[in-house]
Amino acid sequence: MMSARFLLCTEPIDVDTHYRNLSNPAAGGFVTFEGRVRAESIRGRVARIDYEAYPALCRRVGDYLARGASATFGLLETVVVHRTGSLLAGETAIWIGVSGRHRKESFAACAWILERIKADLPVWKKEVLEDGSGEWVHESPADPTHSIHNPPPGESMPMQHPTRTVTLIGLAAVLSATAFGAEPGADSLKALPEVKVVAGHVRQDLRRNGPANPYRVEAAAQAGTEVLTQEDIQALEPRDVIDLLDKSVGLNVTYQGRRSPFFVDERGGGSMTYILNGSVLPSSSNRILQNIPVEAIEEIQIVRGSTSLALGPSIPIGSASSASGINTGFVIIRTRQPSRTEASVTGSVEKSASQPVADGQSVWVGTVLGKPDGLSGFVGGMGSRSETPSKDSWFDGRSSDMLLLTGGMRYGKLNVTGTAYIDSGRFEMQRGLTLADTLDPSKWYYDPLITTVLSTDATMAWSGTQTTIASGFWTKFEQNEINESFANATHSERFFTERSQGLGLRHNAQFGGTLLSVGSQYSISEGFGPNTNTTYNDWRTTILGWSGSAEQKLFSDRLTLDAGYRQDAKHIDHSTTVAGKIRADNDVDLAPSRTTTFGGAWSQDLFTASANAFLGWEGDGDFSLATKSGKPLHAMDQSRVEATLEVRPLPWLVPSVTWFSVDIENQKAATTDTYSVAGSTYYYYTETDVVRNGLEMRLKSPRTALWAGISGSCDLSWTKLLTNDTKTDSSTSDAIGVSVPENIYTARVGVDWMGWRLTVTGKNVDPWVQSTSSMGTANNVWLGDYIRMDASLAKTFPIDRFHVDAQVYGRNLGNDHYSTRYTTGYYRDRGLTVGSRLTVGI
Amino acid sequence: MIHIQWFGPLRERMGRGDDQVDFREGSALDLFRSLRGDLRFGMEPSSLRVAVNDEMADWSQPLCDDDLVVFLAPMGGG
Repeated sequence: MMSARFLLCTEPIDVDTHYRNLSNPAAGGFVTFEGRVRAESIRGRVARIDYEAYPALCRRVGDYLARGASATFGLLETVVVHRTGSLLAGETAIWIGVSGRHRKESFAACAWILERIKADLPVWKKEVLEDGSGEWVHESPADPTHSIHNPPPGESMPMQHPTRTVTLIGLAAVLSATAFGAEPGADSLKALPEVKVVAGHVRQDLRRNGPANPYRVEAAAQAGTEVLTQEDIQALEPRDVIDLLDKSVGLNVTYQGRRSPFFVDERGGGSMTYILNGSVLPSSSNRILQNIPVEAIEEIQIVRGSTSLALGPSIPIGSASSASGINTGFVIIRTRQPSRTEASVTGSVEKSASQPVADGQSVWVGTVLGKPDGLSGFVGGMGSRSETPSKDSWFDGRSSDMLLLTGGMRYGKLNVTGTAYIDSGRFEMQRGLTLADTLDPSKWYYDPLITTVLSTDATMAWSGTQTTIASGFWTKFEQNEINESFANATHSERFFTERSQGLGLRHNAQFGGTLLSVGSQYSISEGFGPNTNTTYNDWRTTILGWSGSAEQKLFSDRLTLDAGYRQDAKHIDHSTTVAGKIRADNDVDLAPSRTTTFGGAWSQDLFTASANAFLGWEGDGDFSLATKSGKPLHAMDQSRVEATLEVRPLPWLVPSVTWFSVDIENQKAATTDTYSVAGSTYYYYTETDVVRNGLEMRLKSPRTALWAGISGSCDLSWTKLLTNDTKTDSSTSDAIGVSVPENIYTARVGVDWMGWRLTVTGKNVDPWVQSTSSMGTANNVWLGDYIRMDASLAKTFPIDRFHVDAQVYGRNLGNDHYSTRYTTGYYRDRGLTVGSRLTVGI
Repeated sequence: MIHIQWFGPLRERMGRGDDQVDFREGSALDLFRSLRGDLRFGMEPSSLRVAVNDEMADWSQPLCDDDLVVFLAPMGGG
């Protein structure tokens, strides 16, 4: 099997190890080249040479050259290593090793790689003489060493070949020379035809402001938008996607060991919409997200504050009753795609105090195909399994098997991708521990929970300023709920399934400093069976929505203004919670929800000031909801205003402050009082008005070199709730410290040294004393009031032809068994958990 | 807003690693020509190469907001 690899390193090149990697029993010729820093040049005695690289492009070009040489010359093994940093005379700057079946192609390939690296690898060297003078030097065939500071008279370096092309000289002459038995010389190398570089697949949909990004947010909304890359996710080492959200600034997760386990609260409150690869997830997402393996995720974009109207529907898809609440935030999850031919195997084990050992494995393979100027594409796939068992006195175990297939093609201006995802697992509902220290005997669990997602999107870039994006999705969620008891032998099962599908179309048009975006989305949602607290469901609903927005740049692009409008109309084909009345609510149009947004951002070198406003009016919600007093329920209004000032006094010091204000009128909430219709029990609802405002202060320090090769970064935040008043029937209550925490602090500190990556995160949440659920309101309980510290240490080791990522981590290092909800008791965190993860890839 | 990163001799000449420039519409070549004199080092596009978003690019490649552009001086690897 052939292999070819390129490495960029800051440490001395381990020649012996790389030499061993050339070993191949089929090889008859081994050729190596070692380029060292000379003690003298034509300028004088050399003290050192400082090598500087453009790392991202360097790896891309180096990888291509190694693979190109391997394929062109038919090599068996190819290793190219380039060093950067300050090198003293005698130190090795570059090492090339190839093995082939015969000497001729091996010699030719080694020489060819060296010539191309000198011409095309984005590395620059500054030669520093013993007298302290320094000069950037590069070589050309005509003048082996000349300076960019003092180019020779009349020099005009030929422009290199365009996009993703590197002139690969040497091929034909080497082949012909080989054929005629002659060793290729410098002349023959120059005379050879060019070969185009097949650059790795680059995801246009992830470019933050790229026209092909279906989830681009306006400039005024970017302060509230958080992007977590694969690297971030690995450093944070979350338990699952929900845990990752809990580690994000401005989000807080509460948990109960009940059928609906997770609640994700945005700063200022509001509903979040979850989108997985373009599929808008139904309200069951609080049982779907915890199953998605974090290794499968390329990027998560968290949009806090929904002034970005094109991202998705402004009301939740699903049953009639799920119309309660206009979305004010989005969590957009995009799974991995290969950027080159790659494969990796990951294994992990972890152990929580007094709990059984948990383990997980995943396999990822993918490759890119074709040429960038013709038909190109990619295919990839991941399979994974994980199991976190639990002791019976805790009962919070889970397991999951997942398969992800992804593929795409690009031809000219058209880019099409598709993804198939399925996971299946078991999820146990943790036993509550009551105030009297007794365990809830309920043994409730989902087995299986199955999520299937098929999605596709197509982007047509008509020109640099006109882009059309079309998308489609189909999802199916199935849960089999098993109700047993630790106290007796009772057993019952309830099966619920929910399907949704949708289509979207959007066009972005740019005219000078104006960006117009119009789009429409249509979705169908069907559900059947008993779900969470409803013993019977049968619905089919559709949502047709459209949005239009404009963004205008002014004053040399310093000022960006935006405005938009969105409307979503839900139609109830049928919806009932009574088995005998399947068509009780048939063919009903709900009044559409309407949202209007405004935003503005002013950006200068030292600061960015931005603000946005969201005004939402929800149409009539579920008409079957009733109040105990018989008063009619009203449509919900919501306004949300956020303003952020970010200053950049120093590159490593970026403080910001955000003021947020949310005003909700006629918010619906279930009471503990019930009534019966046709044998089924329903909760009465009340309407409340809510005002919340607060501040979020943040200090970000991007990665900065500190001392002796150590670099560091940090991100500190403090979210403070100033007002949280709820008004019900003329009585007003303050929820701060009662049902919500007043202060939340987060910290993330990263330190890098010699390839070691240490990440420490912390979260401190104030206490609150009240927890409300459909079981009632629990008062005088002690929730929150915890400090959770997590840490991970990772390093990548090149071993043989592989890269090995090793990581050890600890969660909740203080072993704090905190709780965030009380329903049938407290649901305590597992406490200290330690684990390790190992990935071997090529 | 276009992000520009400088490496090697260009970084040293600039005295910093990156810049942000207001640039509304056009190609990489348009961007280079729109730069102030001190950002052009007295050089012409024919003596440089350009990368956009970590890929080698054609000078005629259209740029969009938030793109990362790197002008590449003649290289000196090896």
